[in-house]
Amino acid sequence: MNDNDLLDRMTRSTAWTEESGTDSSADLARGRARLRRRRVGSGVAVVLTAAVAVTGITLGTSQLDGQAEAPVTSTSPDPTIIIGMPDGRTCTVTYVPAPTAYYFDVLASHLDAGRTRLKPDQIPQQRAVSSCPEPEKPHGGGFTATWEEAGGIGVVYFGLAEKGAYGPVPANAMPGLRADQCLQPSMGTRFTSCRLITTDDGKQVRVGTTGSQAFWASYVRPDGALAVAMVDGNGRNIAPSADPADTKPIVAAPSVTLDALIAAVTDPAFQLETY
Amino acid sequence: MTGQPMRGNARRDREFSDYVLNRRSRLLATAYLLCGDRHAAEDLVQTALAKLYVAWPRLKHDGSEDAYVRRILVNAGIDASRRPWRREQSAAELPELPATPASGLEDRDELITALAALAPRQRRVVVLRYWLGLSIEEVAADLQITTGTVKSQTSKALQNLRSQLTDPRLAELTEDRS
Repeated sequence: MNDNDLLDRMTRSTAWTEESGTDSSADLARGRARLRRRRVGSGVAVVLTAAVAVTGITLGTSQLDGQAEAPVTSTSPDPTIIIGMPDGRTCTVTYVPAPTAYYFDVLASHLDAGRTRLKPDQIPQQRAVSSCPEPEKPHGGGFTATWEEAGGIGVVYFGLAEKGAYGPVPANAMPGLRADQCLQPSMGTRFTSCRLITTDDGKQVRVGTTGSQAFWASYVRPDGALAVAMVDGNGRNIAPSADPADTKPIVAAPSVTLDALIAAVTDPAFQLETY
Repeated sequence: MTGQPMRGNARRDREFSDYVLNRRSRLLATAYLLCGDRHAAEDLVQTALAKLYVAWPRLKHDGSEDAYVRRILVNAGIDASRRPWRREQSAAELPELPATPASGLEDRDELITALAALAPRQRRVVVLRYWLGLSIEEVAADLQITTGTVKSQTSKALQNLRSQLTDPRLAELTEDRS
């Protein structure tokens, strides 16, 4: 007689749970719904980033803790959300497939043509369509993806921000991409080295590294757009708010090179889309 | 690009469904031992599985999904116990069990009541070690405490359980289990 007796009593007390687990459909539906909510939250953050850049809207300090939630006055069934604007207007925002979905293919051609390590996220790239009237203008796009290597999982980011959609923002505004930094503010990756280099053909590219684990390249193109490519072997850096219980192993040294990232961000195949 | 996500989603759904079918009852039992309430346990498991579904592509399917969902359960269970709406405990809502000679209603209620009387950390240690069979080192890693703390909390928890459980066999519980 020993601690097995305690286990026996636990087993008896939880015997009723044996009837659970015969149907996974409800759990599957809840998981899908949670995934959709995360996607919409991220989408709202993207929309607001663009709004800040275009209209100069600033958010109060207290709103910065909940960037995605603050301006959302209500939500309707996915994928439409309603955003309250500072002038009292409300706009509905829906999501459609992004015309820049081919960005992944272009980036893969530079980093991992065989796609044995670079894997697309399972959420299709989307763009927001707002009901508030907006003049057509060039838009960039972006995505995150997964880098799988040596049993570990890292994260990949690519973004193309049109002129005016990046740069320093007012103190209380939501930070975004900047040409003078190696930083994607919504991700946890921090670079210990960040410097401007000139390529053999005269292009000025900002490159960053954190040891052999994370790599960054960004380039202000002739059309004024900022192209950014980043690979981080630590998949937990996909978002600073990631669950601390997450147990993803990291890729200590992803097999990418700065040259490949530089070739990617200077590739004119990434095009702005007007809508 | 357009085809791969669909295949990925189908694979995720299939693997996740298999995981749920194989593990759900065990997870529900763990949650029940942690929180002492059948409905709250169901809520905990639903939340943990929804989080697991989101994280599924980034988890190596070599057992780390078990650790991932276990940590969610343990942490969420304690968080939930601190919320005002969780302060009401109803023994009447405990589930009925098939009557067997070795297991009476008093026996079951006594154990859940005794576990609920433990300090949260002691309860977590007991469930992780005795129900899930984790080693001292694994419990320490899960709870982010030292192995010494695991041992001392185990000792205190068992002492408390001994004082509350009437089964004389449990008087022989020792903290030497590793």
